[in-house]
Amino acid sequence: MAMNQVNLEEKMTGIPAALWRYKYGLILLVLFLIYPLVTPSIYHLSLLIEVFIFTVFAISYNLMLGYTGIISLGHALFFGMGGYVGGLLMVEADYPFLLIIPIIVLIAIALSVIIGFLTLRVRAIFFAMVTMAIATFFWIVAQRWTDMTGGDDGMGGIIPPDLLLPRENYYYFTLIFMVLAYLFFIRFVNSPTGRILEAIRENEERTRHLGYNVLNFKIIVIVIAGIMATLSGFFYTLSMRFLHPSYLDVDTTLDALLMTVIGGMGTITGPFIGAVVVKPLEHVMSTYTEHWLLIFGIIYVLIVLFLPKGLVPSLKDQADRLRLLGRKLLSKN
Amino acid sequence: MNSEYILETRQLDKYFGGLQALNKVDLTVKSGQLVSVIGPNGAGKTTLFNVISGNFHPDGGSVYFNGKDISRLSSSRLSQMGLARSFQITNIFDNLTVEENLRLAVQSRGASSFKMLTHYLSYSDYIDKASEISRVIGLEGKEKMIAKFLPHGDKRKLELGLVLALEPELLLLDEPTSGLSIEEIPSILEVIQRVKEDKNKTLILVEHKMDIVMKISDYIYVLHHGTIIAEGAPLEISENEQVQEAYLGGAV
Ligand SMILES: Nc1ncnc2c1ncn2[C@@H]1O[C@H](COP(=O)(O)OP(=O)(O)O)[C@@H](O)[C@H]1O
Ligand SMILES: [Mg+2]
Repeated sequence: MAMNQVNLEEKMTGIPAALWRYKYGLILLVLFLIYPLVTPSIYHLSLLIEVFIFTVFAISYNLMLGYTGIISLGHALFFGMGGYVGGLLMVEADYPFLLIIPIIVLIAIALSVIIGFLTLRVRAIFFAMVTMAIATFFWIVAQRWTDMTGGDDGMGGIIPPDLLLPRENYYYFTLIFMVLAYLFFIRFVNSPTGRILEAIRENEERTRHLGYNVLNFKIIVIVIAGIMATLSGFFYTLSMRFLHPSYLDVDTTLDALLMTVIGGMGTITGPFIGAVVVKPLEHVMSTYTEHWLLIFGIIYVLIVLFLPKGLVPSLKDQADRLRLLGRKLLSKN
Repeated sequence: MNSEYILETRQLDKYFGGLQALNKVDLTVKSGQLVSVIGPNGAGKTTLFNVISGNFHPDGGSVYFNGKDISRLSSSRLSQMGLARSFQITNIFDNLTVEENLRLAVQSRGASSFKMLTHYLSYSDYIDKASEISRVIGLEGKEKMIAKFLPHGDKRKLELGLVLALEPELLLLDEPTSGLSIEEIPSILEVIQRVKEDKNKTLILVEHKMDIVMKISDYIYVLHHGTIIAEGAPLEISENEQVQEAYLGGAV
């Protein structure tokens, strides 16, 4: 029976094969598409919007940490930059939504390239520390420049364009955002460039000796990750209709890190699983305790200790082992 | 520059703290030859390879490749220019398959490394080339194995395969037979021999097994405490007293 299944998969090529390979994703997509039609709960829609956005944020972190082995301790700087620059341009300068997107994307590119060239050629820890320093600097500016940002009180009134105003529409918008990000993500990691990223993660020295300019490829990754995180931050701000310095703080970076690790570093499904697990849990826990981050820290350590590949790959390993065991039990000798 | 030489080092120095690992090393390699560098453990052979291949920059002196000063170039640049090396301590992609290891090397010679939206398997010529290399190094049938699960001898073959796949003009091989069983050595030697027969390829070999070195080399340099103490054709070297002394005194 297992044989037949293999044959079926091997026979299919092209689009049917691709559809089959991503069958679970497609089923999920259909469920997400009809979900707003069956539930009137704004709360649940908002939670899902958050999951979609943070999935993209986690994809961006996964590309760096999971695929290339680059550690950023300040990825929130892009998330928050997208939120603040986008939000302020909208409120203070009345820029239209469609103009803001290319502007923040260009800023993300410029920031990534500059940070990349300055730090990535030195030790790996430099990139981690410098991103953290810049995120902290932005955070301080957001806190202190109260005239502009409202400081710790945050700033409201950041309203999506009319078309995206109804909650359902914004839901579909962010769903599309996530799907597009996923389509890009899957193609990218399976491209010649994507394979080089894994080579860098596995063995940077040898990758160099194969003739690859490692710095260039790392910069490509942080630029892409920076763009994704920036857009995530902007769309999150529009979803909340509110800006707050916390978008730039360590917790936001930790969110991306946790989602990547919990979902499984360097896996396709990881970012979505991570976001689906972490975001709702955060909501639940933050209503009971202020120490949810501490609890996440403990969960994180437990996962690293016991499920080092992340939740899903580890469960899959277990399932494979069980299946093997079952087959052994059922076989005749 | 004398363009008769594909590689030339001039007065090469390399220090590690107080230790001088290379001391005024002058080395010339003619195109199409196989030149061996021998010497006891710790003589500086690997360091010499590290400096030539761009892992370290020299503290003094220069390296010329096809007449061009390459002393300050990166290893990726040198690899692109056709200078590739293997490692004494196996340095492969442990968690990737044999095929993917080789395919990555082949890909770096193609023009697709910045293609971000096409599937890597759609470049089937890379895969064909990778399986050709795995046949050459005797790993056919093991293409789908994860590199870290290969037995030691096969890892050494893959190490060599990564260099072959780059189709370099100059190959630096650092003890390619180390850790191989007696039965495995001839097949590797055959591969090296075949590269040597290609007149467009030049080899620099670091090797401990003297019978191999004497048989296969066109020219030999003897390194001792970072200094070249002798050079010449195999016969001259085997008769050189100073060399024998260095080996008796310095070998472990
Ligand atoms: N990266 C390094 N840092 C410090 N010392 C080194 C390094 N590489 C080699 N050495 C030292 O340089 C000397 C030459 O080493 P090496 O080039 O590996 O010798 P060989 O390959 O001939 O056995 C040794 O004393 C070794 O300990
Ligand atoms: Mg050595």
